Amino acid sequence: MTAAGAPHARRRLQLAAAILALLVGAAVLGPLLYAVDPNVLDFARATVPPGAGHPLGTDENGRDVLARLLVGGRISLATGASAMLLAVFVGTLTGTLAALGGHRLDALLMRLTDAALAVPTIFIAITVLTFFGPSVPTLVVTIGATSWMGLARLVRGELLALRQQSFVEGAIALGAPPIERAMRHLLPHLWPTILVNATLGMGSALLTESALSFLGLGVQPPAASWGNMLSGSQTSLFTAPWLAVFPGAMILLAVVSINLLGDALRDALHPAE
Amino acid sequence: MAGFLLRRLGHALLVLLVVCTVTFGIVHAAPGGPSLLADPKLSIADRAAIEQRLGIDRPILVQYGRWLARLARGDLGNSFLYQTSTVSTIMERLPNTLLLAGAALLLTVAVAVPVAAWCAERPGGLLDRLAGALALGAISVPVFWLGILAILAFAVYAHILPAGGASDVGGSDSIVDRLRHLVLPALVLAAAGTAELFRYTRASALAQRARPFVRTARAKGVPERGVRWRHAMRNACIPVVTVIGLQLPRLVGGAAITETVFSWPGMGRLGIEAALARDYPLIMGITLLVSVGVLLASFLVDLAYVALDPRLRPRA
Amino acid sequence: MSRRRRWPAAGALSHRSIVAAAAWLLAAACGGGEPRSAVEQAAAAGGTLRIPLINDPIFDPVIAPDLGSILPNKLIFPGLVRPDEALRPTPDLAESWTISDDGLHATFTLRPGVLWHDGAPFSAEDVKFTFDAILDLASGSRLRSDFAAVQRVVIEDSLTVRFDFHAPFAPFLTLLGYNAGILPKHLLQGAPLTEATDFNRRKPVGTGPFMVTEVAPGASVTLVRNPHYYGSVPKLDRVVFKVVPDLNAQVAQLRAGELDLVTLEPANLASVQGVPGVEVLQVPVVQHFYVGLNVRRPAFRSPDVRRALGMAINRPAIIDGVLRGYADLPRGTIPVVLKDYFADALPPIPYAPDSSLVLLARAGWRRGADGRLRDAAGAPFAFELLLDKGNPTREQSALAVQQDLGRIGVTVTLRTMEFAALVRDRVLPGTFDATLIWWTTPPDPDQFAFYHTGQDNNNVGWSNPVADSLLALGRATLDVPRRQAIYRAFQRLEMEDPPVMVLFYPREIQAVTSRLVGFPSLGIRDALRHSERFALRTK
Repeated sequence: MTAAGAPHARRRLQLAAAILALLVGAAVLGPLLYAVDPNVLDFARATVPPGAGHPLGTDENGRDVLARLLVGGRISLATGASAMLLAVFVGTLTGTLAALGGHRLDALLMRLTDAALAVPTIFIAITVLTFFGPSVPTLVVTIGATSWMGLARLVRGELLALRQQSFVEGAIALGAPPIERAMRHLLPHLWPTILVNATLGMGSALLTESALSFLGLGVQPPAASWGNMLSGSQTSLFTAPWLAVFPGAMILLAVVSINLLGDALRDALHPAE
Repeated sequence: MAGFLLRRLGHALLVLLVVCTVTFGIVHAAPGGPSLLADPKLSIADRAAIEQRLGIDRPILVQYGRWLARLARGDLGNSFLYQTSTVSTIMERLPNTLLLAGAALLLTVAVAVPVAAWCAERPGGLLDRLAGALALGAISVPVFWLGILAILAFAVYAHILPAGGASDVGGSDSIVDRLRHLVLPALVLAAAGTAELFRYTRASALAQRARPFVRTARAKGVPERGVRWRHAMRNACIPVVTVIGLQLPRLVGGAAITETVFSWPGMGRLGIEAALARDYPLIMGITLLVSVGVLLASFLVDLAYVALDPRLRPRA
Repeated sequence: MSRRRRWPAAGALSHRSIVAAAAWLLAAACGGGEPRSAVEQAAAAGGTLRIPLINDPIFDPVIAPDLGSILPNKLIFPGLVRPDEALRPTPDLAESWTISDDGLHATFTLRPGVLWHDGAPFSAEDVKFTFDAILDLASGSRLRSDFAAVQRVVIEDSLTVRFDFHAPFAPFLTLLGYNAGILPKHLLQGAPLTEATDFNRRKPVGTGPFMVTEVAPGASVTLVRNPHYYGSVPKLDRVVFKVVPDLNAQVAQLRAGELDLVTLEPANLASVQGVPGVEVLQVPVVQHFYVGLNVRRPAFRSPDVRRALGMAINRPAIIDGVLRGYADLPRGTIPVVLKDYFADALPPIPYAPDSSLVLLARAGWRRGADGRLRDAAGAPFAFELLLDKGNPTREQSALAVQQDLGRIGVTVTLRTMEFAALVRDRVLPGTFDATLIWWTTPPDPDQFAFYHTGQDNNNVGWSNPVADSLLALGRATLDVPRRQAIYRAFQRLEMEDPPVMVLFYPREIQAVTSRLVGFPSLGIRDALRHSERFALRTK
């Protein structure tokens, strides 16, 4: 990136980090500060518009939307982050081993990746989630285990390309052991790829949770997540639009800021300079 | 090259076997069994008769053996739900999914690559920022939500496009009518992929511009156009090809949601229905078909790598 | 996804109107004898009625298990009788019938001159063929348990058919008018019904007022008026069933003017109220939604405990809050829509948490300092409530039950499961504490299969010897006043020893275009038996 881009990148980084910190902070501390039970039903006060008493209104069961957004944020962000970490770990490991572990291992791992990539994951996810029941841990594993393949192939592709380059050949000539070669000379060059992928991965994990909620396989009620709140709001679209606006805004805000953060990090860490 | 192709074919068959075995295992291990059996009003005798008729009273290995044996004869068995051949059930839906996914992919490449190339030339420009913001939005919004908003805006309130289906029922089955039904689902399905391809393409085009060989080319006096296209974009194409290859399975997965939202009579929705109803033959059939498609795509992607970067040529 | 799931029709269902449409009743009373000019006038109006399905249908009423198939099959395949607006069986393919004094034989005289959609004549052979298939365990029949009392079907002549029974069977006529559409022998004999793919999926042939002309898989089924229909000439030109698996998408399409008749969950109600051109109707249906307490569990063995838990649940709040008022308060297990049998003299189960605690104390459960109920050994009263996932009405009802029982110190843990897994792995083997589930039944009070000791469908394991004899007597008694007395006694008994905790009797919510006329005040399944009367007002 050009020098002129640096302050701009820093500003974006700061903005995204601030939004994300706010969301995480709200999710972690919010339920402690805003002591309203997110699960208590009160049909007499169902679908109350935002206002005094219920700052963000109530849902069709008379539950406080703000309280559910805060608690749901915990679940959604934790699910998304864990799934992303799992996917990044598996993806990077597989890609690196495939590229550097020799011809045979490469073939084996790439066939596995091909197989995982070839299976229509949504149908498998449906089956697995109905098998183990849609809880947060099974969601994390399901989302993580179905989203590492892209990164694995990207990492492998880049490593294979990098390996041919002069500085690596130099390191090989100097007799550096493969692991050290990988850690010192190659992995740093992968940071942009991994970061971009991880940010997109975190974002898409949040989106996958909401898509699974749409299919009835996300975090199960009465527990709240942004995904199941958004999915549940569909029935009241015409009559209580705030039920859709708030969780939708939270997902959008979270995913946008996560992606901005990734972009800014990528710009800041860009190895080309 | 022939050896390379043969080896790839062998790999593909191996991958398919893994896919089938694992899928068969997962699907049959799931509790509940086919939803045909979930009618609480069936008597024990009725239930046993159904299990026997469907052949699911046998041990799982026997069932798998029979499934493989039939597969070898090109027979995927009968769908439990539709009580008709799995192959014909899928084939009835496949054209609609190909139409939708094809339109979305076309849209993705046609929009993302040129816009990204343009933006990479003028980073920080107005179009770059606008496209960046749109792309950011598009990858940050749940697909089903986008679909519902599109239906609300264009069908329920504006009344300019249909809310669902692939054609007007019983109406004029014209091209115009089909296109009108295609617009919203294709746009919604293409949104995230376009944004993602745009971001990758732009990022790698920018990265390539800073690479030594591009600088060298520039220093050698190669005209800027030549630098841009021959050197920079050519290398930037590798991740582009990778991302397009990754889009394919995602188009099917995303299509399943989009098809549900728009009541599109495609294979993705059929797959969701089959998975929820535990229609073993249908799930296996769709999984197999999608896997073949994806393997084919990944093979083409590898060929494209080779074409784009001679260093990746197979050591045969 | 409330919506997008292929449900087996859990039993059967039927409904009745609250407000009878006088004009329609008049038409029903006249039978087929409407003045010719009126028929021609209405037929000229024509038009297309569009109704959603959640999945592609199987055009065979004998083997199709799901609602998506049942609805179109009602138009294509009439039965020997059909329910009128009071849900009483009236002639359809049968002109008349007699039942022997011992109740062991029913003889039907068939309507002459009826033609199949392909022009072949309809006869007693078809009736016998259909019921032989229904009774054949290997045929894939989903109606076998309905007609298990039938011993054999005998053709007396080409238009007379006799049913012989193992024992007198009172629900028989009701069941005939329910899902038992008659199949064409000349097209289906010789091969298993489940393998008649072309018939089942593309080219069904029935005798009904509408016939299938076009099937677009995954998208729609188009039916056109049958010009040779034996009843009054169908008024609509076409009925189109559109496959729209998502309930919210159905609502959106209704609002966009792409659908004409949608049945709704209470949660969707607000989305269609006040929409110009859309009317919201309600009809009670023959369903009871309940929390089944597993009587095999020691905690639930005592009738007093089950009664007490029932009194701790605020049913009016659930009906108002969750069902938006579209449900009725339960008494026993017989829905209010079965007017002849529903014990309206019984008071509804009261919401009385204090009395509930008294009853529970008598059964040995006392509230500890922490407010939780504990037995003599100090073990808390806690159980797991299973429910199928994806349906907001049931999820919210379960939440309300959890909250209400929590108030008296009973800890309820909710667990949502996929419906098939819930039924096969927990409900059928009896490995559950409690489950929120429902029965949908034909419009008959017979509940022998659900609550008689040792029956396959008695999932909660309830056993009461008096109830056993009442249930056995009720299904064998053809005399209506005597049957009424039997089922009233059964409901009184259920108040003392509840087999299950019934939460509500739902009403079906129908959102229809206000142009639709001639639609009887019945649940959609029974209303579709009268499709020849439907018409769309122009403009």
